[in-house]
Amino acid sequence: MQASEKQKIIEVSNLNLSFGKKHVLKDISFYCYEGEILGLMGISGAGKTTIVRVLVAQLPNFTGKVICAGMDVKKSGIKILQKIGYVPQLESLNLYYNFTALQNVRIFGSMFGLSKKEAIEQGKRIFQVLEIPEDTWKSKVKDMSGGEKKRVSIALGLINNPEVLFLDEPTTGVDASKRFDILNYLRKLNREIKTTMVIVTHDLETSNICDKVVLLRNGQIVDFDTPANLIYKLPSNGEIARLKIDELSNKIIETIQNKDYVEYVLRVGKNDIEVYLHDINNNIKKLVDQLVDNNILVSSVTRGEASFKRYFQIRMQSIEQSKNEV
Amino acid sequence: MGLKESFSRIIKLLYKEFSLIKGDKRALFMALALPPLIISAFGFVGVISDIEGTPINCAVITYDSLGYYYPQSNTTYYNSTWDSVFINMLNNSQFPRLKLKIFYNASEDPYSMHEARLDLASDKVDLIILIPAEFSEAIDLGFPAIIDNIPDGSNIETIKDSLNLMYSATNIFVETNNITPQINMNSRPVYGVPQNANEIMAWASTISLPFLIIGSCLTLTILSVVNEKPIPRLLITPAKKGEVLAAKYIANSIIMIAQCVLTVTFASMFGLYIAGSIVDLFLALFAIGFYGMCMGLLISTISDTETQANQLLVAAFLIMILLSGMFIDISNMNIVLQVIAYGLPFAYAVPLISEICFKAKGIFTNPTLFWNFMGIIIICIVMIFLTYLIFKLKRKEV
Repeated sequence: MQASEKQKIIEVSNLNLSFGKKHVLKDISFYCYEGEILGLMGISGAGKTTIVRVLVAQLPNFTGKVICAGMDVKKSGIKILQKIGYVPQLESLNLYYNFTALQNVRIFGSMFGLSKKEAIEQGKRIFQVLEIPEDTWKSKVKDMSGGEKKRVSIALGLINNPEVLFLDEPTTGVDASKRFDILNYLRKLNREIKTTMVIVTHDLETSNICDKVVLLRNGQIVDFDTPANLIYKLPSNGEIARLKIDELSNKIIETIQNKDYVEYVLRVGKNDIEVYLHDINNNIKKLVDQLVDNNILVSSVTRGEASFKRYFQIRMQSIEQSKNEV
Repeated sequence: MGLKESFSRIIKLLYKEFSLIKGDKRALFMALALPPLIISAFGFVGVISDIEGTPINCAVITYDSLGYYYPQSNTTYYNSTWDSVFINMLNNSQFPRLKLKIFYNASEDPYSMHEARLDLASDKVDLIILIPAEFSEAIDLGFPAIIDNIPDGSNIETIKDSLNLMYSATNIFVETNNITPQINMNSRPVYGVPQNANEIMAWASTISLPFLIIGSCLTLTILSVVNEKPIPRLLITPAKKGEVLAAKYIANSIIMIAQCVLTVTFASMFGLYIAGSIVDLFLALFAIGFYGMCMGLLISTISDTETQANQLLVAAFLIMILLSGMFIDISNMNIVLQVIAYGLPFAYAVPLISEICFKAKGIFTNPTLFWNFMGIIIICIVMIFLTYLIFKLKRKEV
């Protein structure tokens, strides 16, 4: 199905919210189609969690139009909770540690009107998708490993078969390998259960599984698009030349930056820089030749595409620079 | 439809509540086992013990053998027959609680009083009985004879017991020796504990039952809200705050009812004396237990951390005990303390239990008892309202 044929399951237009005199969300607009994964990204205090709290009808005093799970949040209020799932950042806030995984499933399922049998069947189905070992289902949650707890927590969010699943920092506090696993499980769930997901995170690696990303800063949207399009918006459409230069100094970086065909230079290591060039195919050789002519020793040159992390870094730096100029 | 769904969710939340209570073995033990065990301990003491109370040790100083000058006949009398009769009577087994420990004859030892005071200060004796110089002369002449008694005033129980024992001793002394004093008071207490009932259990239960029930209900519920971390997450389901609280009240009430039944059953096994209706006693205990539960849930809702809740529990219990009327009668307190005392359960609870158990009064037949009962219920309703309000207004974020 094409995106245009899909239903918008989340639509936020001109969302504004104030806490007292503090204007915390300023003209927020974005949308998400059914079955997509939407990432709400930004540094701490950007307003990510506040947006989610508006979407799950916990902060009713907003202005603007907010549609979540196909329902108008302003009109339907907490009725919306029947159609959504939520996975908090900390498992301790989501799980009853002294109960078994199946008891947790039963309790949360029953809140959505599921019978004991229905809740346990649904729980077991999700546990299998999330590859939670069957011998742990009847163990107390407190005896499970960190990764298992996280997956049980995600399973609880899906117990009511929600139209939208909200995940708050799902990869925070887990080591690199577990982070990779969690993102894989989320992608797997999205494919198998077709649940729309909204992931609140400052972990930029999460963009790898997102169909769209909302980048926030100080309660405002900086960018909203697919990760690929956002990277494409970078100078030279996100194509980069990575140079390793012996005895790299700020003076050398300044020399490179001053070339008229160089759009942006970013130091990424002791002797490494990424250079964003106009017409990279022709100018990359020109740049290396000019550096060599100036007795600058370039030990390696590679071409590649910028990562989302790099996009985030450059975008934030440019905002800071323009703010300083003003 | 909304009410039906709400009711259905409360029923389902009860599963969670009972699982939580079951999981907290220590609180469950304190709620269900501790009150019956303690009340049984009182009962056991009452069954095995022959002692009617703590003995009062006394020192007797007699001045009777000293001469007494009677101005009307201008004569000095040296009669000292009655002091030895009185002292012999004290040694008699009729007074197992009033024990004559030390005897001083002031005519032989001029420092008797000083030495007796030292005995009192060093806790060798609890009471000094002082027989004056004119004791025998007054009796012989048909005048009222005086016996001074100086109890250890640092213990209110000693003062009370000393006076009671001295009163009984004097009565027996007068009756046995056919002496005619000006007033002889006969005391025949009613509403007391009958011979076949366990006296210690009966007296202890009027205070200990409310204390045990309230204390254990407080312990059961004090961490119920503050320690349940997934509550905010539960509120991002269709479950409402009121439903979460309602399930807590219902689940804990059921435990509290079981606790009251167990406690009274154990107390009855050791001969708990209940002159009134057992139904009234249970109603009163349920109301008292419900108060403890409401107070526990209120503290748990107010508190942000487990430590805060425990601190508030200790503070609340201390205030409850100090203003219970056991130490200072509530009517003797200043108006501010009276208002606080009447907001606390023991102002109602102790009279409620004692009137039902001893005077066979009924909650619905005696207006005073009815309003004592209603006092507890009204405070419970206020606490439930406050708890709901605080729970509703408190930010619960995941």
